[in-house]
Amino acid sequence: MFACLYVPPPAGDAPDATRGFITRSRGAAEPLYAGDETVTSALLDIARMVSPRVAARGRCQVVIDVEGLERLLGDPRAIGERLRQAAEGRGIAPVHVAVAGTCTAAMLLAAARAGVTVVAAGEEAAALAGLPLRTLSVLSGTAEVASSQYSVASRRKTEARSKKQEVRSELAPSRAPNPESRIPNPGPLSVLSRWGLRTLGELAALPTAELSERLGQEGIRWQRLARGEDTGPLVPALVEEPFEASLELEWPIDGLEPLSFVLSRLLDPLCQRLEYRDRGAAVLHLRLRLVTRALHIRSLQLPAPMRDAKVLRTLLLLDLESHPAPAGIDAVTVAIDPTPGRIVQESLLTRAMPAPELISTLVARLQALMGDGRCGSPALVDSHRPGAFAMAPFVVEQGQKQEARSKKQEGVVCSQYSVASRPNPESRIPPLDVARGGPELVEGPNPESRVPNACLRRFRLPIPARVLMDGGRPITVRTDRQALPGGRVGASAGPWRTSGEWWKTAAAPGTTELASRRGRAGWNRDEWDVALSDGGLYRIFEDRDSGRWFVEAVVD
Amino acid sequence: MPATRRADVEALLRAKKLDRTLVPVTKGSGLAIAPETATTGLPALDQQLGGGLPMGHFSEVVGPRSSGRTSLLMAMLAAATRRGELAALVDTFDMFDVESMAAAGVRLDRLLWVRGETSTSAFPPATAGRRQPGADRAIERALKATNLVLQAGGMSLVALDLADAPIQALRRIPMTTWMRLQKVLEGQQAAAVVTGTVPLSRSAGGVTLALTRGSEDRRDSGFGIRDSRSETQTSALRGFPFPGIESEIRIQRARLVPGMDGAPVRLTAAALVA
Repeated sequence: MFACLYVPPPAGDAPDATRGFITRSRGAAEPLYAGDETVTSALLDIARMVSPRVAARGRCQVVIDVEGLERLLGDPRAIGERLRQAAEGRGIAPVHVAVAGTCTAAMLLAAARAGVTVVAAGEEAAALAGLPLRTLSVLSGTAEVASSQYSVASRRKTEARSKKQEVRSELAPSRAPNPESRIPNPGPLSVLSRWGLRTLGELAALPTAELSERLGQEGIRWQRLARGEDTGPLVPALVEEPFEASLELEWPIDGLEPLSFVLSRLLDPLCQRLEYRDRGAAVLHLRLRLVTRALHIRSLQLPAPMRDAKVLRTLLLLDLESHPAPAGIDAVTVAIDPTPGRIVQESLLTRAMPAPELISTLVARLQALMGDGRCGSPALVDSHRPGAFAMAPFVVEQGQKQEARSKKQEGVVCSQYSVASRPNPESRIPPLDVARGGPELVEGPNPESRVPNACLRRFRLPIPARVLMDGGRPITVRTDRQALPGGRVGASAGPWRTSGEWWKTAAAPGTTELASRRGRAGWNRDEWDVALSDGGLYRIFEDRDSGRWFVEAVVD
Repeated sequence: MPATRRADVEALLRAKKLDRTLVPVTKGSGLAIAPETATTGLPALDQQLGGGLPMGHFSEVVGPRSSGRTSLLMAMLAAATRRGELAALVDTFDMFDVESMAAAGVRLDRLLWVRGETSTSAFPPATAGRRQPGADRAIERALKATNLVLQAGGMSLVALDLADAPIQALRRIPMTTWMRLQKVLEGQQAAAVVTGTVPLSRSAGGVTLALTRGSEDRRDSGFGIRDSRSETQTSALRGFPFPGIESEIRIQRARLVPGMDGAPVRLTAAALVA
């Protein structure tokens, strides 16, 4: 059995231009006007007093599964009366209540009849037969509202996720089985009206095969609705539960060890609740109220949904190790932005990847040891700046996702590869040594090739050098470093002239440490590859603005 | 030692799973264990090593500057990441070049790169004196990071780069540190590689690969660089002064490799165009 609570829209002379409903609070002289969402939320609250299986279907329309409640609340009429009284008690009037054997019948009856309507199971078609055909339009609004509610929920989830996960969640609604999408297209209703059909009974009585021939599957679905048959199961709406816990401390604490116990006490029940709800933490917020009345707030964006209390506690402690609270702590609050739990389909063909919890903990420990931004995955950047790179978070994709991604990325790797290994003809000026012939583009080696590339070892802060030139070529290179004395040049290649980013200032984001020291962000230089008598092969360059030489890298 | 007594001892060691570390592999001993290996990315070297680097052991790549240590390490990382596995690189002095990594075929999204202190600590000015506290600190941190990575597990190759570490600083590392790291690695489905200038850290089951800058007959310019002027010029490499950098890889020590009497593997790095 299903019950439906429905608040009809007010007459056209309602003072609220944006469609409001009259709600009369007790003792108030003037009626109040509330929007759709407020009324629906109030109806859901009333419905949850009766049953946990409730769902909002359409504007100001709530369906309740009342099966098995007879012994608790009485017969269907008693249940309907109780719901009506509860709604009136909340100041919502008028409210239509219908109790029927199917969800569709209850919704249609509630939309059409005022007061409390009760239809015995199996008599839905007969009860609906007399209703006007336009009653079905109530159902056509259902999909719209349900999808908007879905998008609200989805939006809330995506706020808690990273940018990459946002894209995933945006795609999710289109794939998720939404029962509301089974409501057929309302287009055929106008066709039925033109046929001269006036009531649901007339539509229900049409021969199904002929209806299908003329209107297709849409027509059959509308006919089923007119007979009061359900097109999908009731999907109960879940209450959004806040995952937050806080603790006021009797005495201020200082240091991580006592805080560790407090965090355990807060995180254990939170993680248990996450597990019950099949949720994982997407973002972990920690708010510490200090003795100075200031707040120390930290937020950790987790690479994958997690609900292991020990892991979350470790991550928080490692973060606080790098960003400690400046004073004693008075109160601790932990809040979790939940996200649906992780479902992993492992592959038989690839090696199992370590759990994201493990990787997150490892990266957090390494960052605490080496410093922020010193640990992650290297990433290429779209720049001609020598040695430019970026650090990306080290995230491990699980199971088949990872396998599919690796297949997809084969192409990406190849393209990156060619960018990295092939010199940009625009950024290079040919060597001046004409006798050796002009440079030709050397094809980047195939990634599958067994011939390794010569690799550079870069000095992030290039080492100043003294270079002696003869005939336009370097003949000796010396530095003041113990481990890099330099020597006579045995062979050399160059110069390769490059310049760029002259339009940027040193204060611009993304500039290197060297650029900050020099006060300029761009570069303008001649590069040489030289083999020295100390046995090494180096890349040196002359800064054309200052005329100074530097050793930039070792070829190894 | 009588043959029966020896067999008894070996059987006991095998039962205690100590046969890998204590009993040398000798021809005809019947103890030729085929360790699980991780390919180096160079088929010729893999063939000589019996499949690649032994898993569960520390191996070493040693050689002087510009001998191809980094190129060989990149080939190993590329092989591991191309298999779809994860690898970690502990870069003690933050010297690795990302473009070179990508050009070597390393799947960057599968590489955990731990960057240590800047290279200034390894290359202090001559006026700074012999003692280099910056280098000591950087090495200590790198060892701790390696320990964390090994303890976490899940990586198929863990590389620790000490190629530019001062030799005095390396000698100050206690032997127990390497033993502790080896203990963590033991039994894992992971290989570990340390690059350096001298053999220092190889565990009992690991291999030491010594790199030199090309063979004598190829040293036209005296630096192990194959100069195109003395070569038959090919169309692809014509005009480029350093078409390739030659190195020779010798298996210096390998307890679990059946035969080490093979010819050195010649590593010719592709033209330097970065």
